[in-house]
Amino acid sequence: MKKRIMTKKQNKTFLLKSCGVVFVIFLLVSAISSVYTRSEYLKIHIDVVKKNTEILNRYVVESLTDYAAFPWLIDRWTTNRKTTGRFVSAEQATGWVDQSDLTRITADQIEAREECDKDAFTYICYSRIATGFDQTYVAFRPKAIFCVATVDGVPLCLFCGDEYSNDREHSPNLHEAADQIDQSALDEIYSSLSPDCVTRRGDLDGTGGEHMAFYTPILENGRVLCVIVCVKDLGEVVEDINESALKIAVVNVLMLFALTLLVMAFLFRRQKEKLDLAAQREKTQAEMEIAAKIQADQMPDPARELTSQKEFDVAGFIKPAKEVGGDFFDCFMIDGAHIALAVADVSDKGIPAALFMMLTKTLIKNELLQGHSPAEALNAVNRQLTEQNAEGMFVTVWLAVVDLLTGECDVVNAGHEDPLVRKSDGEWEFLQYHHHLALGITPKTVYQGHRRILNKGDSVFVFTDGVTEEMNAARERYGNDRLRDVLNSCAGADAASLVRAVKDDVTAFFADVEQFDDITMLCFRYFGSDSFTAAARNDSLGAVNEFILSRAERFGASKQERNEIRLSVEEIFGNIVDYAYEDADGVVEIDIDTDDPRGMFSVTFRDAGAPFDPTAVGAPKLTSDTGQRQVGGLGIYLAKQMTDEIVYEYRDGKNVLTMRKRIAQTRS
Amino acid sequence: MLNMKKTVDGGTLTYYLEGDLDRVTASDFESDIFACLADVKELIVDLEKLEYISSAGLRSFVKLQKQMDKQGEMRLVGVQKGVYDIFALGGFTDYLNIESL
Repeated sequence: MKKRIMTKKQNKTFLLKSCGVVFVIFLLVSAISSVYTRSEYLKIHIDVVKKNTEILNRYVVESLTDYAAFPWLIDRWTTNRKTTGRFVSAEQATGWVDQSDLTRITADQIEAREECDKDAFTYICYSRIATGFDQTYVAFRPKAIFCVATVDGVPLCLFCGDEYSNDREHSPNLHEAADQIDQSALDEIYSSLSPDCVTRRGDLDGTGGEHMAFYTPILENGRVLCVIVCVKDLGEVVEDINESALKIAVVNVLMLFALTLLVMAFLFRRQKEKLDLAAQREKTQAEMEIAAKIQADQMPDPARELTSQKEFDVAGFIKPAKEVGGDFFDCFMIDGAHIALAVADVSDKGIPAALFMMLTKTLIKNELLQGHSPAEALNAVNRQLTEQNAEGMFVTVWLAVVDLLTGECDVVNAGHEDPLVRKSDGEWEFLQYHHHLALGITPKTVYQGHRRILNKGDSVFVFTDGVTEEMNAARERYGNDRLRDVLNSCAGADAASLVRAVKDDVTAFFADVEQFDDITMLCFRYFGSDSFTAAARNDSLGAVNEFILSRAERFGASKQERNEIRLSVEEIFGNIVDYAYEDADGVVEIDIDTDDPRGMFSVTFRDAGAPFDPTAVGAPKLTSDTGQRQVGGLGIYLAKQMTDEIVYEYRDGKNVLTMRKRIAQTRS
Repeated sequence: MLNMKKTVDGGTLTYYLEGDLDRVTASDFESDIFACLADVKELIVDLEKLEYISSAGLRSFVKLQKQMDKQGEMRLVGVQKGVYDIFALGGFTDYLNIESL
């Protein structure tokens, strides 16, 4: 079952679509991951900011609570503020205080002193602490760092870190700081009374940025003295993180997309390779089918090509094991009177064998058409094949040329299976004779033909070992005996039927196995030729004699009888040559009849010349002056003497002259 | 097929024929032998190896005889039986000097 393979176009579209889908997925994944990354980074950063600021606040808290009289100071400052509108006054700070150890002075100690000393203490501490805030601000650069106390429910900014230290109480920062206070944070502190830092985040001053504010209370005896507030600007950091996250996202997407492209490219390549392979395979298959067709066309179809079937009947069959094979058979007329028969088997199968086979077939045919004998042809072809045969291929050949007029057969066997022959009315039997080496092995092989005579009704069956040597599923070989028996079972059938019978039997025998070797067979039946058409010229005499005398010999005529027939033939034929036609184009049809019921050897001469009865010419006068003898009469006279009967009739526009001679010992 | 050989001894030409004398070979025979007849007084045609003769061959000998009648004489020697019978059938055994084998 074939898997549905998409066309190249469909493949491309599919891959592009999947590419798009995967890209979108990766985009989403990337976006989600970078959002997550961003929030994690932010969290981490804020954690760091938080920790640092808490530490800073704590440091500020500790530096304030270092003052032993801090709660007293807070009260004093806030009271001053309520009464005078100011936390401290420089003018009032006229008293004296030991400045070396301000933090040690306790509330009791300072309470015990003069008012002016108290003022001085209040003022100096405030200055010191305010300076401290400024220094902290400059060192740590928060957005703001200040101290807030709630007075009558209203938050009051006591200190505020600033670069400028001129009029602190009226510095704009103090006011700004107050604006930044988140009342809910203070409420939380006042209600929970926990020393822990409270944080607020957001756009705390309404300027559109992102801030974080840390509120750390200073507690004393369960009440909140004041709250240290540190505000940090997150804006820049958030921007940096966003930028970072975006960069990560972009890099992610690009890398993942590049990976996708690589994978897609790889898959596309693989798919393309598969398609190419499939296309290639299809193409190869198509080419093989064409090659098989070319090969099959090369095999002759005797029924179609050899029209002269009076003298013989021939049929062939070939079935390669693969699309193209290494066997061939050939039969073709060399000239009007000679037919060539060939069967061959190349070592190997498939394409190399097929090429070698076509070469061999063509070379052999060429040689024979040039008039060479089978042995000469194989000698020449063998030399050519061994010249350029690096692959060491060889081919067995059975090659014969049959003279259809005389039945003479010139046969060569180059390593091929013995054929079967059958004498007319006899049984099929294997014919064993000398085998030469197959073609293509060594140029030193010298091929020699051997002559056989085919008589009327004789047949020959040639095959390749693909028929007899292969084994079926039961590991039985088809074998020579079985082949012979099949042929004998329909011994007298025509060539096509014989071939079909063997083919059917072979097919049945090998029904359950794959064909391993090429199967080829050729069957030739000779009927003899009892007709011959000769040009009415003297140079035909040799062929005419050959034709008639060979049959006479087969008929059983002795040498003497044949000589007599020869003379008779020459005189009759000579007469026609001399007198029948005005121009040189006339022909004489000669027919032999060996089935005369009286056992006579009979030859009939037909010509289309002017009606003339040579038998009507009287016997030459033997005793008259020989120099003036009637020339024409002598020939026919001799012919009559040599034969038992010479009969003439004029029929269908032709002179028909028949000579008959009784043969003493006829051969059946 | 016809093979022709000759030997000359003075005015005697001995001509050897081997093979078949039919209408095809007869014309070759005639051309060959007539070209050698100048100054020949005695023509001996040795037919020991002649296997076959037809009316064309007989006619050749008639022509030869006619020519030799003007120059001298002609004898056919060593004629095989089968060939002799043909000469006889044609009635030439009187007209020609034939010595059978």
